[in-house]
Amino acid sequence: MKKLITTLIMASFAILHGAVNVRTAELKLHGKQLILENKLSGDWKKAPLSLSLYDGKAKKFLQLPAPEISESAGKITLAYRMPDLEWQITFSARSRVILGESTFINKGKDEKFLEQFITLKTDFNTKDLRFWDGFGKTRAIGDKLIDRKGIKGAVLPHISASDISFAASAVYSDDSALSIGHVTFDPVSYTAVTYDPASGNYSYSQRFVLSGGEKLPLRHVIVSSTSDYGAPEGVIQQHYDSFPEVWAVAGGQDNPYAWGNCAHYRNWWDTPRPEESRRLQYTHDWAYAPYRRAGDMMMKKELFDYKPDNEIVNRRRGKFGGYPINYKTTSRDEFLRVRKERYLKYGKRYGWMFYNNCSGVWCERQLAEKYYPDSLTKDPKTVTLIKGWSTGHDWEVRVFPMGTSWAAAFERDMKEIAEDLDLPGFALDCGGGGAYYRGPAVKKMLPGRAWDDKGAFIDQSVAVNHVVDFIHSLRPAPNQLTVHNNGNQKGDIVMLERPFLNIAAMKQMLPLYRWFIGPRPGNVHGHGFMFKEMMPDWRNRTQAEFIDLIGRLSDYQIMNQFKWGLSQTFVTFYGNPQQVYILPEILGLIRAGWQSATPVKVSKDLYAPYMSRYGKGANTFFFFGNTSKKDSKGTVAVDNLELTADGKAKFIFVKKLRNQSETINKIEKNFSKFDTVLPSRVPVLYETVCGFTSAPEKFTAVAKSQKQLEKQLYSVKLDGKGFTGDLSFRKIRFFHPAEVTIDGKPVKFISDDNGYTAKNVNFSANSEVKILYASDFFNLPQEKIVNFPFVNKAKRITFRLHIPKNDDKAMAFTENFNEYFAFCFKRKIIASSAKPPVSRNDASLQRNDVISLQIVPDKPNTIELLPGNGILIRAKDTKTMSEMLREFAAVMDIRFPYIFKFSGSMGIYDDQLSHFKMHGRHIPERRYFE
Amino acid sequence: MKNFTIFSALLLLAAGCATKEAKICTTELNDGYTRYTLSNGYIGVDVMPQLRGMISGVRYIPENRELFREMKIKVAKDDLLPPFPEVTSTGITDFLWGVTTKGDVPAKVISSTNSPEYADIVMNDRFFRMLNCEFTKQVSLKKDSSAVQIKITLRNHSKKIINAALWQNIIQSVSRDIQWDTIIIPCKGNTAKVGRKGVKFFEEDTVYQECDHNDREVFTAPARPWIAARSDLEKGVFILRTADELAAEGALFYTYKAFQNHTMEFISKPLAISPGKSAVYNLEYIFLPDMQNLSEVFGKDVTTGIHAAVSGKKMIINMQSSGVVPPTEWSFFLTGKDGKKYNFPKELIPELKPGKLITLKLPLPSGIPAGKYRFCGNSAVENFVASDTVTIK
Repeated sequence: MKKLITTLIMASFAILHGAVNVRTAELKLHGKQLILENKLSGDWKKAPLSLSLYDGKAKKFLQLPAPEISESAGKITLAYRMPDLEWQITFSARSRVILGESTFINKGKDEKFLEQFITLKTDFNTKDLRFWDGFGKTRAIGDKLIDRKGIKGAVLPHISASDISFAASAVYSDDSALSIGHVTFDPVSYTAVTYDPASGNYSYSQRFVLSGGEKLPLRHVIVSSTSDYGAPEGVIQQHYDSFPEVWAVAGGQDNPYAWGNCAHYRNWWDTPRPEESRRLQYTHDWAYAPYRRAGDMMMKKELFDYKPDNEIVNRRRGKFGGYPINYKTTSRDEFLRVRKERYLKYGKRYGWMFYNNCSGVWCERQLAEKYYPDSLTKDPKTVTLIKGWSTGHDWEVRVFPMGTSWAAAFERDMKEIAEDLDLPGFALDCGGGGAYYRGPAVKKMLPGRAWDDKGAFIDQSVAVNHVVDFIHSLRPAPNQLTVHNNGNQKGDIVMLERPFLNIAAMKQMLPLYRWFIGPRPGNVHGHGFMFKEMMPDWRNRTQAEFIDLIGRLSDYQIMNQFKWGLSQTFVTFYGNPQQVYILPEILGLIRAGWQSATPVKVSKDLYAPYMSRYGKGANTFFFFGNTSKKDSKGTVAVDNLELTADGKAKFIFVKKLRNQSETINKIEKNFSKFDTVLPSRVPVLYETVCGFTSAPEKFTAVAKSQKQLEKQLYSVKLDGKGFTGDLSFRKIRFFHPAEVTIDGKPVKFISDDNGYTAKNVNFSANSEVKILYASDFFNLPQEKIVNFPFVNKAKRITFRLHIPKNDDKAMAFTENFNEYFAFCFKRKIIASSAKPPVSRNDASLQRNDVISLQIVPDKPNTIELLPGNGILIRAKDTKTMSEMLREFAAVMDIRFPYIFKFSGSMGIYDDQLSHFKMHGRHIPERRYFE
Repeated sequence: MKNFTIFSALLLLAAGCATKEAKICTTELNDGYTRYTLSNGYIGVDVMPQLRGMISGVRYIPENRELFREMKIKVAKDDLLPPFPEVTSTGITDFLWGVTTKGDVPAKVISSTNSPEYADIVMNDRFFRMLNCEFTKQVSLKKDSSAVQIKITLRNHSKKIINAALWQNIIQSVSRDIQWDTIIIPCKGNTAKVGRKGVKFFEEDTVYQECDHNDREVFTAPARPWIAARSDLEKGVFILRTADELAAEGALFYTYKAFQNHTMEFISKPLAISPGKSAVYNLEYIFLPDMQNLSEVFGKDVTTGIHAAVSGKKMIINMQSSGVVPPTEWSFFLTGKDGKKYNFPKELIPELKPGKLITLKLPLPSGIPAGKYRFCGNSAVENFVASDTVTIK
């Protein structure tokens, strides 16, 4: 079969010359042949590329005519014209990868079952090859053909369907990898990958259904990568770098919900906790089952009264923002009234992601069977009936939320409820794939149709991604609704519903699940410490043993948070200040975007079992973790080639600490090297100061950072040869570059997507680069806030708030201070429950104990001292005021610190805490980032 | 001399494991785990005291046939985590239904017996699942038997009454991983709920052959104190039989499908244990190697499985026992919905013993009208009413 493919296509190419170039490979038209050439020095040199098309109904390969070939700047296009079918494919460079974009047109009337193959005839000069089929593990290639057919993997009990493969594959040696795949989250229901060691042929194919008259796009991706930092990881990294839009968060960095912690029902099942939410950085919550009947989130009058399959037991899930709802007895009117009232009051503030009935892939049994029979997903290899899931009293059947009668109702409901409740977003449970729909809707020209010997089908992942796109389409950018997906497909926040300490589950789900999440924010959700599993004989243990174990379990989870870029929830925060201490760092790194490849080599003497990388280019961060009992010393070498698409810049790093730091970088060819010490059980972070293009092969750079509330100064002292090149440096949230100097002389810079660049700068052999960032908000030293007279010696509130007479918008923000000090009083941090008085008299601006809140659209944002040493907080609008007050309160926390104490929660229970006498206590804190 | 004695004892122990007498021997596994094996030439049963006294395997020795997937233990080691055993999902574990597990610890072996007639092991755990409740488990095996007896005693050391419903989580693999086992469940008719728990509804008592791929889990109300697993591909049924009172109202059968497992599980009627008092749970695991299905299970000292099916004008009856049953005269009959009896001629059933299948082909009683009937039997010492029904056309 392979011979036939190659022969057909090779014979069909015209004699032309063209080229598609990326840094690691070049696709050339050479004579009659498309050839992929390796631009890295590696174990393969050339791989002739052939194309073929299989007819699934005739069960044979199509005899393709000679293609029409055309070239234009960096593009090669082949067009095959047949009487009833047209296929055009254009190869082009897309950042780091070669993209093959096909268009198929069925000019006939009959439906076609087709499979498009791309085959590379590899010339690896080693037999020590491995095969990555797209799942989480790789296999050694022996003498026999190795393959993966279809996208389904192991059944995950938690989602009751199969895992699905990543949108890529690879054949690789120790030093280089070749990969063919498609664009992640494209609507694809079937792919296959094959490597034949006898011929060296490596094929990747996609199956699709093409109705009469249908025009269908299809995309393939070809990657050449080094294997030095993991072959699948290197390939996936190129996908991240080349298709950033695939992993983009709706609303970007300003999405108010995506970049913080999930409240893990704390704000949904209980009355929302404003100060706890701020201190523990809860920005969203999983608003579970806010309806009575699965599949009827609108609670329509005609559907509300029904006989569920099970008795309605009013469990804890019947509380909306702390307001008890009785699923059995609460009337429809009351249910709707409370839901709306609560949502309008709290929904956006606490990021209540509306649980939309498991992504629309489950629906109450009777409802689905009566109204949506065309929508049932009857995949015998998956569970199709679940008893008592979202509401607890319904049996739910698997349904297909795209192109079906159920999909129409589901979309109508989502649109209506998003408007009615002014939703911040939706929570999608089971938002994965691995279940095939073969119902009547597959006759429609829906995206993602594939085929097998049983006929046409669409994988559930295609529909889930359609649901996410639909939700995003409900409001225009950048204010789209946010999608929190408990599944590895599209979405803005992704949940991995297992705790780090569930070792077996993590082994099963990682790294594949994390690769899907990519640079998007993700969190783990589960029974935190799993204490009974970790210390099964706890009744026989002492308090000292408890403290020791919790400390180790905490460090284990911290190391894993940094390794995988996944945040935790309150279940590990209580009693455990270390988990709270690291929040600025872990959330900051997640915001920069977790990456699959960590292009770092460490010296043999450095024990760093934990390592990861976030961001790219001048916005790169590294994490290293040593979990042994002893500190470890050694050298880190960062491969600069892998940090940008063109690999031209050399980057300078400094240890990331909260106050100040210094790191000596030694640049040797494409590596930036620095010595480091990894203390026992301490996460060590490095941040990028800047990057230089056209820099010499060898030089030394001493990097320093000095950080204060109102400014951050980064400097680099060079020691080498002079050169002229570009200087790039990063964006820091809520800061802006105030001045950039080379040897004391200011240089101009421009802003771009990745940060800032100063072009064609002359650097002498010993130049000193200084990048001064100024706060967007703070124009006063931290001490002025920390020492502000909020309270007297008796810990009673002594300060007052000032709001200008005409500034009613600012008035609402006095509540922030009330909430702050109510929390402090309840936790016995202060002695008075009185609210700070509010003055509308401008004369109070002269006082030293006043904080004035002002919203003034035409003046700059600022937090500064007033003439009388009071504090002015002035914002352009209410959104900015919210952000400024959150930053301001974080400084106040230095004055009014609080450590959340142990209390029973999922994974560690009250009787266990009682046994160890740890209620109301906490384990020690180490402040290792300062 | 001392060394010689130990060596001799080891030799004897090893030799004992190879004979057909009831015996117990131990095997050292990796990472410090010890497996105790009771065997008698028919049945071998593996017990893991360090894994809460669970049964990790059962095999039918004449065919060297494992009825459970092999248990593998690997202790994961990490700089920060306590050693953590990763154990294959298999075997029989004891839980308490509805009681949150608070952790678990190895059970201590407090005695063991090694005699040709009888072998046993007794284990104890003072804080069962970290509850203030003492757990004592005796696993015993008699000679000439394909049944393993289990006696679990729970003693309440707390100050509150414990309502303890023993949960037998059985992850067997009669089909040897080829496909999911079919679970044979004698279900109580006209019952939609057990307590608050919704159960699968049947109009009348029946034997439900459960292997519905669309149903991830099934709860049913027991009509009889047994549940069994069989393979669609080969003969042999593995049975859990319990004391009658444990399967009374309030008890549940449960099956669950995940990966290659299709479990057969039993949740006993909750027994209220007052402070300072104990409750006893008697159970039996039986393998009948030649039976392909079950209509009923009966017998006081020895368990007999029987299956009856209509084939043309004949009733095909298969019987097999877990132990020796002397020749016995039986009266078999069918009862209709109206209670009317249709007798078969009396049959002298020859001696039953493990591994011996008795098959009868009896002409249907003359004049019996078409309909559904329940198969029944009486002897001088036993009687049964099948929970299953047969249909005569």
